[in-house]
Order: sequence, then structure tokens, then C-alpha cells
Amino acid sequence: MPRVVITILFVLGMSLLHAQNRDCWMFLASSVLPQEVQVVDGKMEGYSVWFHALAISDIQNPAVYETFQIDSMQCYSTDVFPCQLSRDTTDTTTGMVTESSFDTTGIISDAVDADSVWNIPNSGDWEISSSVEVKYEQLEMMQGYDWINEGFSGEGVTIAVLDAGFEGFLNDSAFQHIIETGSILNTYDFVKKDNDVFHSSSHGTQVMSCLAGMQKEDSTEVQYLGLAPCARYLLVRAEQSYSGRLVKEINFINALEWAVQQGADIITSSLIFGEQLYTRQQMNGQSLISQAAEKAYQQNVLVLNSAGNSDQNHWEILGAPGDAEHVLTIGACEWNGLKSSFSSVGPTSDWRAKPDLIARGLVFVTSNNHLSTESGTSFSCPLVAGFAACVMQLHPDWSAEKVRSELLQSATLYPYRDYAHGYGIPQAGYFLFPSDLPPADSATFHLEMMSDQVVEVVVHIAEEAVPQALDEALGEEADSGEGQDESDLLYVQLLDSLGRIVEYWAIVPEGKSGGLYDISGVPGGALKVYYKKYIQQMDFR
Amino acid sequence: MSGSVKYLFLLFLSSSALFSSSQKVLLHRKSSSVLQRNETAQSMSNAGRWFYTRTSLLGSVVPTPISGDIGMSYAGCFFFGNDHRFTRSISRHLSWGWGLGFQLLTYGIRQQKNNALSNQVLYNRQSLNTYALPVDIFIRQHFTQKSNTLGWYLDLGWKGCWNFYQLLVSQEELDPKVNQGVGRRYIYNSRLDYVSRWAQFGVFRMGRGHVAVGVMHRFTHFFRTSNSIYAGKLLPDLPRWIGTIEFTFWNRNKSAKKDEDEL
Repeated sequence: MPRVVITILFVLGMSLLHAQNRDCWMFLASSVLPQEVQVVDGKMEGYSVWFHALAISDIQNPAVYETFQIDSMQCYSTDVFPCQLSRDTTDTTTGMVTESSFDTTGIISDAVDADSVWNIPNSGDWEISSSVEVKYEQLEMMQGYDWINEGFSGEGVTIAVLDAGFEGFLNDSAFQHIIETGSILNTYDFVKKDNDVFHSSSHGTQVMSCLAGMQKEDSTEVQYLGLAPCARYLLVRAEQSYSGRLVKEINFINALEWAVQQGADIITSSLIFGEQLYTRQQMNGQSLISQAAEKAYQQNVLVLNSAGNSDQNHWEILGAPGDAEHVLTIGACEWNGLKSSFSSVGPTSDWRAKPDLIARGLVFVTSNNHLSTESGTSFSCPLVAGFAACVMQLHPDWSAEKVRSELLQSATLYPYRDYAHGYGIPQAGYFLFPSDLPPADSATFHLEMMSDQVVEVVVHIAEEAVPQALDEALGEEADSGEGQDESDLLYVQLLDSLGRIVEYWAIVPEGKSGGLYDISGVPGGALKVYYKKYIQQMDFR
Repeated sequence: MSGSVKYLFLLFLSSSALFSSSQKVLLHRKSSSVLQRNETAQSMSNAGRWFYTRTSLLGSVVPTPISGDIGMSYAGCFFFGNDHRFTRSISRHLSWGWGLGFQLLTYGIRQQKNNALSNQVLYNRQSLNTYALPVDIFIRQHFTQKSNTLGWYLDLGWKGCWNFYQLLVSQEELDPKVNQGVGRRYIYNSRLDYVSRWAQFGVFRMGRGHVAVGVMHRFTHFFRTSNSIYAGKLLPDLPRWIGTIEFTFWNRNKSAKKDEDEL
């Protein structure tokens, strides 16, 4: 009994001490910050907003100018997304530049608009004098705005969209450019056996907005929601429902065949045939619909399918036809490149690596003339399909096989892949500015054998690394990965003697520590590590 | 070092290790957890929802030696049932369900000299039929990942029956010479007061997909005492085991429509 009391008191004491230390770090971090920042220009509410280098001046001391380089920031209408601001302070009298950063947790409110005020403790009043740039993260993460700026919009490419219905599509202003230009080549409902697909479910409409949606702002400014607004479309209703029980594979197979016959260059589907119809063992690419998708690919059609949203239930793995070998299976990721918690994982039951690529899983979609946020691999898939349409527009002579191969190589993690992220997020710069690709980076880490069974990943600290004290100030958000983009994440995997990934990690290294890894479970295997474009593999043979 | 101090020291070491963790692990997966080949679990996609099936049962009495004055003609025994069942997931391995239905149980009675069920007249063929409305409750163990009746499953249940109608049919072969060309006569006795109105069964069945095989064991005595027969004594019980084969059907299209409506 006394031991129980001592234990409770001790744990309580340690918790209090830990909490006090956290407050200390917050105080140290905030002591270098201005007290109040006022947004003079900017419209953010309801949109995903990326700030770029806000110039801020101190009202009380105009001689000092500050530039906030904001690594990444989102702002939705209902949520607060804290971020880390890094600040370069230039004293114009001395020319001296100092650098610091802070976390916006609890500082920046969600309803930010012109004249919004952010209260930051311990300093004077500050005024923002620059404007903000509104960009949709779902496109920005794929460098999609490079496609748009270079004039690529999927023109000349035919995309077949297989879904459960396109209710509200015809009346949505986001698609009027498609309807008015006659870009809907054909439609067919394989459930009811007629040509009307604009009913039953708005899921297809939301998917279409990630392909071709265009949101007009202030009657002049156009915001792209997808990358293929100028493509031609075949809209197919291939199932009764996009979730729950998918009942008839034959509808999906017929839809695939019809799309090929209609001349589709790309077939994208956000229907997943998984636990309702199959066992995990059947996710080996041999199901009827997976074979049909593979046949379509052999007809020189690029086939994309969402991985599924089953990672938080017992099913976990992707569904058919995402298990087919040449179908591009698309998972979902968070803004920092980390796999979304719901996104289904691989491998297939015969240990082929899946998914292939990932894209943003929390997106802005339009449905019934309303812009809203939705999440799911259903929307990651059309984002990549639109991306692929731009690739086909740029290289109309490329085969589906070539496009598929190049898409994989353009991804952020390539040639590293795991069963959660695939090769990562496709990047437009790979296609548009191949000469600008950065040279192979030097080693960002090295591996050390600590013993016969333990390997340590030792990260090489860059000079411009953020001070550790400020990392501590990130608190809980840092624990969940907020404040880290994909270039900050360190990916580790253990491979068995057959080259299969038996265990994998995505971590945020702290200091030099990239973690200790027990290799005793993979005799004859290997440890592969990816960090900031550098890959190293240690074989245990 | 005293016991308490030593304990505190160890506690401090473990707590220090807890608070001094280095890198932050955002994702850690083992592929083996994803590809468990021998996993026995059902889909939970229908959890929180009743899964409706219609089941037709065919079967017969399991030949069992009985003692007493009633001889069985097992070739004449027959069981037919039609159930409406509702199942619901409890966990990844278990469901429970209940059902309502109709069943007909026919016992073939062998011709014998001492006919216990009616009079002393000898008959060529005799059958004792009970028409019942059963209610059953069962617990279902799943062995594959498919939900409800999909995949392999095993049921253990209880069934209560109300025998709302009883019928004893006796077929007598007559001598045509004596009866002027009439060679066969049927005698129907219904609402038999010596047959129990209530019956309880234990149910055990194993199935996969649309087909299941099972056995039912009657816990209660088939007869009850009646002054109208067998000198007021309780008749010898009939065989208690019934073997069945079941065919189950469900409307998948309707299930999908329901999903869609809920979206």
C-alpha cells in the first residue's frame, strides 16, 4: 500500500515538473517575439492559405523591419492550424540580420481576415504590410501551380471517371466551363442502364471537382481545385454506392471496358472493392475487377484507383482494383507528407508494394455550389489523375506505361518507397523543369552498428537547423508531426532476405538521433533509410 | 539501501527514460500485422445493423435407438423449416441473432403389433406431424473475415417452438375383395392432447456462405400425459436428434441501397 501512495505522489510530481518545464520553454521562445501582429491585407477564411514572406514593420520602431518566412500554414474556416514561423530581423541602421522562429499555437485564430489581430506576448506592436497568396494545398503539394502557370490543364486528354453518381454536377458553377465547352463526351449509368449519371450520389461530383473544378473569386479571379479543367470527360456510374456494400463487380468491369472503347486515356476510380466482397488473401491482383483494370492498362490506358480509407479499421489494406500490378494506387497524406491516418496501406497479399503514390487527403471540393473540405483517398486519386493529364498534355507521345513510370520517378521519395507512402507525392518540376532538378544531395546521415543487432541512424546536423529550444516550444503539435514538412521526415525500413519490407517508420529526428533499430528479426535482410533526398541501405549478409 | 528507497530509485530511472525520449515516431508499422494469414475475424462493416436473411431448412430425425412401445420408421421422418433471421455483430469474432419461422416435423411410425398411438388396429403406414412456430436465439462464431453468413461460421443457439397443430395420419391397406375395390384408407387424428404444445431445442450448426449443416436436440419430452391414451401414462419419447441442412439467402441489392440512403 505505501508503495502505491509513493508511486502516485512521484508520478504527480514528475508530471508537474514536466509541465513547468514546458512553460519555461514557451516563455523563452516567446520572449523574442512582437506582441501584436495585425493583418492589413489578406483573405483567408474558408481557404487553404499559404503565406510567403510577410513583411512586418514595428510601429513603435520603424527602423526595424521584419520578414516572416512562413514555412507552411493552413487556415480553414473552422480549425486552427498552427505553424512555425521563422523570422529574419533586419536592423536597417546596422544592417544586422538576426534569425528566430516561433510557434503560432494558440496565437493565430481561425477567422483571419483583413484587420485581424494576432496577439503575441512580450513585445511591441507590429504591422504586416504585404499581402498573402491564396493557394490550395491539394495542388501546391504536387507543385500543381507550376502546371497552371505553364499553361497545362489536361487539354486533349480524355479522362473516364468511374463513380457512384454525379448528383448536382450540372448545376454547379464550378463545372460550367466543362459543360459549356462540351467536354463531357459521354455518360453511362451501368446500374440503371441508361445515360443519366447525375443522380444518386454527389461523391462523383466531389471527385470531379478535384479534377476539373474551378472556383471563381470576385467574378474575376479563378481558383483551380484540380489540374485538368480543360480535359475531356467520360462520366460513368459504375456502382450504387461508393461505400458500404459494393454489390456488382460486373458493373465496374463493364464500365472499364466501356471507357476503353470510348477512347479514354486515363481511367480514375474512387470505388474500392475490399472487405465487403473479398478477404485479405484475395487482394493479390487476381480478382475479376483487378484483372479487368490490368486489361485496360494493357490497352494503353492509365488506370488510377484510390487506395481506400480502411487503415483505422481492421481491414487496413488497400482494396481492389488497387492491388492490380499496373494500376496506380493512390493513398492520402497530410500536409507534411505523412500518410493520413485513414489511408489504407499495402502490401498486397502476395507482397507487392502498394500504394504507388500519395496526394493530399484533406481537400477543398465543390458540391452544389458550396466549397467545403472533404477527406479521403477518393479525392487524392483524382488529384493525381489531373496531374497525369498534364503530363500527357506535355508528352502526348508517351504511352500509359511511360507516363506511369515517369509519375513514379517524379515523386518526392523516389526511389525510396514503403507500404504507406508509396514513392511519395508526384512533383510537376520533374516534368517542367528537369534541368532545375537539384543535384544528388550529399549524405544527410550515416548508419552506425552499435552492436551485432542494433543500428543507429546518425543525422548530420545542418548549420541552418532550427534551435532545439524552439523545437521544444512546439509542444504537442510537434509530437503529432505538425511543423514538419516531408523533407524533415526520416523514413526507415527493415527488409527481409526477400526484399520485403517487414517494418517501417517515419520519424522526426531530434538532434543527431535518427533512432536505434533492432535488426535481429531480419537475418539476411537490410536496413534502408531515406532522409532529405539521400538514401542509404545497409545489408546484413 | 532500504526497500522503499531502492524502489524509488528504480522508479526514477524508468521515469527519466520515459521523459528523455529522443526522436518523435510519427509512423511505425509492421507488415506482418497487415498480412495475418490465419486471422479469424469478421468484417465489422455491418456492426450496429441487423443483417436479415431467409433460411430454408431440410432434414430428418437422426436414427436413435429408443425404448418402449413406439417403433420408428426413419425413412418416413422428415423435417422442414423456414426461418427469418436477424444477426448483428458483437465483435470481430462474434455475432448474435434471433429468428422467427415455421417448421414441420414428421415422425414416421413403424408398423407394429402393439400400436401405442391409437387403437390396436394394424396400419401400413403412420406418421405423427407437428406444425410449429419457432423462435430461436443464437450466438455466432466467425472463422473468416466475412461478416454474418458470409464465410465460415458456427452457431450455438436455443429454439423454442409452439406446436400449434398436431396431426396423426394412419394409412391402412384394405383388401379390395372385401372392400369392393377400395384398397387404401387414411385416418386423420388432429389436435392430439397427448403431444406437448411446447418444445425446446438446442441448436448447433456450421456453415459457409449460403449453406449450413446442423443438428437440433430436443430438450423437452415430445409427449405429455393424457387419459385418452396409453392408460394415462406418459408415452415413450421419440428420438430427440434432428439433422438439418440449411440454405440461406439475403438481398445484397437491398443492403447496398440502404447504405446509400444513409449517406
